[in-house]
Amino acid sequence: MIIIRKAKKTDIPEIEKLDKFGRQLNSYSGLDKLDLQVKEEPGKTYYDKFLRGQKKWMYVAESDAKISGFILFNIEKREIYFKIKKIGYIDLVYVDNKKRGKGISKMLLEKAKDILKEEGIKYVKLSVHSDNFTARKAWKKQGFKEYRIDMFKKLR
Amino acid sequence: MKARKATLKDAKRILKIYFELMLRFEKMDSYDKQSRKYWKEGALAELKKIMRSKDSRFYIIEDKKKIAGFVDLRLLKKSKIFVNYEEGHIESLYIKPEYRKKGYSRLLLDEAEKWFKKRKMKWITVGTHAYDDSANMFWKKQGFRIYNHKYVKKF
Repeated sequence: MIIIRKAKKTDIPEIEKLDKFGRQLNSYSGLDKLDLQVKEEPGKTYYDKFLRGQKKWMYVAESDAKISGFILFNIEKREIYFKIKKIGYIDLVYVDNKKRGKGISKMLLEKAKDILKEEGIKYVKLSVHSDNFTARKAWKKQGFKEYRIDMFKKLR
Repeated sequence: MKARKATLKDAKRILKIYFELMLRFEKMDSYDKQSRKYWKEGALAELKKIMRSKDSRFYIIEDKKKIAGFVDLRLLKKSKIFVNYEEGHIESLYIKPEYRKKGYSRLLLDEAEKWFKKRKMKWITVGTHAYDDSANMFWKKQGFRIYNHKYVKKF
């Protein structure tokens, strides 16, 4: 039985442990390499911002009293000159390796969709690293279309 | 032809060309016709504020005293959890259609690289529209590599 519920402060250590994203980032372009020396202050981590922030949400998928996945999302206000004034942003979705293939990420996304729709959001966006082919394929399958590209160049 | 650093005196002309660039945006980034008031009233002050900042810089190309294109550069600071938490970001680079194929973009990019190096940046980043094939080809030719893709879906 999988339950999707709002994350609590006490979930953060478990979420942090589950979140391999940080380590994953290290394998991408040097641009996103994490400084492992820098420790985030407890209570002021990236996740905390989603617990308390305005128009920011964090939900977890729980099964057998354990967290098997989570989603972070928010609403982004755009510049005044755009026709589309605000947009939903899926910051991060992560499901435990061992719990994949059960539709957990889909459930988490459905939750985000419900909340964002209630907020009057019509579009939702997300970012994926170039080398993360699995994720890119998965999002395309979900009906997401590429609309922006970020590029970099190393200066010598 | 040489690119030169833009000053506040150029702000009005830069704004005009910025507006022209905006009108070309499509799909998700389409321009809101209702924002005309903003372009008439607030936009110039906002642009000047950015131009005054130490951490931004504009270069322009002039052809017979007319502005042919510009580049808008910013120094970005990310979270310190990244090893490289600073990057030189190209917010916009635009050449008016009638002045293209003259190598003006390259001249602006040269100035950009010089300024970013002077400010000790190790990386340059730029964002493009996925549909803009000619822009994407230009950046690749200049040695840029894709590192991130943004996707969107309508509910």
